[in-house]
Amino acid sequence: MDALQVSKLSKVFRPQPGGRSLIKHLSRMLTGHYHKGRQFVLKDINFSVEKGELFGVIGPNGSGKTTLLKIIAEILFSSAGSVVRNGWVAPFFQWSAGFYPDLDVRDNIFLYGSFFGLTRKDVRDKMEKIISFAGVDDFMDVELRSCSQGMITKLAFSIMVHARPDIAVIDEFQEMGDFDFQRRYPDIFRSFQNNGQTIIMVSHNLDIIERFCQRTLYLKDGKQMGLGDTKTIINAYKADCLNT
Amino acid sequence: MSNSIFNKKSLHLIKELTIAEFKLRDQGSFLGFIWTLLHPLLTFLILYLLFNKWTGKFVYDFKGYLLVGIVQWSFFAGTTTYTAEVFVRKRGLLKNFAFPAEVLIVASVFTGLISHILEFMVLLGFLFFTGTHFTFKILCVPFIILIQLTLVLSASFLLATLYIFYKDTSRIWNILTMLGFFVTPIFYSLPMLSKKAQQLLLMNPMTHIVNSTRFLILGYPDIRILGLFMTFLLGAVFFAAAYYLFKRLFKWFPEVL
Repeated sequence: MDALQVSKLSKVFRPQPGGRSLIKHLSRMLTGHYHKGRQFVLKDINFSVEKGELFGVIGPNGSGKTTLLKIIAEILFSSAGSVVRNGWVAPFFQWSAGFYPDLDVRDNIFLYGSFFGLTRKDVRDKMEKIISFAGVDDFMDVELRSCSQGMITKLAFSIMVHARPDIAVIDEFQEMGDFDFQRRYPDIFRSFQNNGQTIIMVSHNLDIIERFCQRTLYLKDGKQMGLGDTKTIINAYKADCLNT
Repeated sequence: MSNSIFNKKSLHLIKELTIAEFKLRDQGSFLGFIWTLLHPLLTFLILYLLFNKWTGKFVYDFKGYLLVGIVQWSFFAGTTTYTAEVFVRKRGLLKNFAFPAEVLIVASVFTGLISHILEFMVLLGFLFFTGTHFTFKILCVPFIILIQLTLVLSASFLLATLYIFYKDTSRIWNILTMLGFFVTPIFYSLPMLSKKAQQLLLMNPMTHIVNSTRFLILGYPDIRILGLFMTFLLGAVFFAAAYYLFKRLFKWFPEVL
């Protein structure tokens, strides 16, 4: 069964002119220097992801990977085409954006959880698991800013995992956290698959994509260059990079 | 972005963001909640010293009259000014999480509302200990705050939406609120003015909010029920228009931000 179906998806950005003051607007109106251009960020993208699948998205910078993920997560709207989601999607982009450094770790867990639909009761029920997974047991009542970047990243990941999304979209996936945390990834992903949860991840680290993803989508300049078995797609991407 | 604000998830997010914002206002500085009181208190002291002899001739208990005016005006001006920049201040949330953007406006306004209610408690305590006798009419004050809340929400939706596209919005609003302070009977009363000036000031919705609150708390007779009703109607129409504009434009926010 498909967790996600993307059909004929396109996205057009209208580049924003610099300066939004009244004076700038008036001068642009008088000189006619309005930016009328439209920039295709994604063009005619088609793919589907099965339930419980680990799906990779690769491509050079500016190829539209993050935009694609943001449309899947309903953060951005598409300009054309459709995205059918079979379940709720948890976005995992710049995770630090959802934290308030001046609040303590406990308050931050409640707040961050609410972005994933967790109520206070849900968070309380899962609190022990969330903090032990992230390894922040001894830091609950200190300001978040006192925690290391690694701890904060682990905490964000832990909350997202315990929110049990149907589809998790992870941007710029790196092997976050220390060695102990990294060695738990295969188990985490396996448990996602066993629960029928789907992961769509973007990463420039091709080893990670190769290790975890069954199928991969290759994007370049907003166009779909390839879709299929991860190893084949990565080889095509590498060959493309070497030829340009 | 596409979810409705009226579902359980969004309402819960509003609650959590309001709690976080309120705690930050309180915990973020050494004096905490005292800062919330300090601004209206200093305004009160200055205006009381300057105008007691003049306005004091026309209104009895000028200190209560002035305090109610300042507290009501502070909620409107302070909250709308703070909320105007909320989308830019919280752009990281809008660009990285999927939730209805109006959640940020509502949470910001509710943070202001909690501070306002606490200010009101302090105000009532002060008035009680300085000899003001309250009547049952005080129980109607929440209705006035509700009407005021509609005005605050309307202005906040309009300002926050416009601010994304025009950075001048915030500066223009600062000037307008400064003007609004002088064209609302905060440190003077309507009967002190000419008939023509009175007519003009009665077109200001905050005149009715301030005077109705004084009527309910202090018993000042200068209340116009029709004016208050028109304020409520204006608030509702203004809210519908501002929300419509927001809904038309909100899908561009993550791109423009």
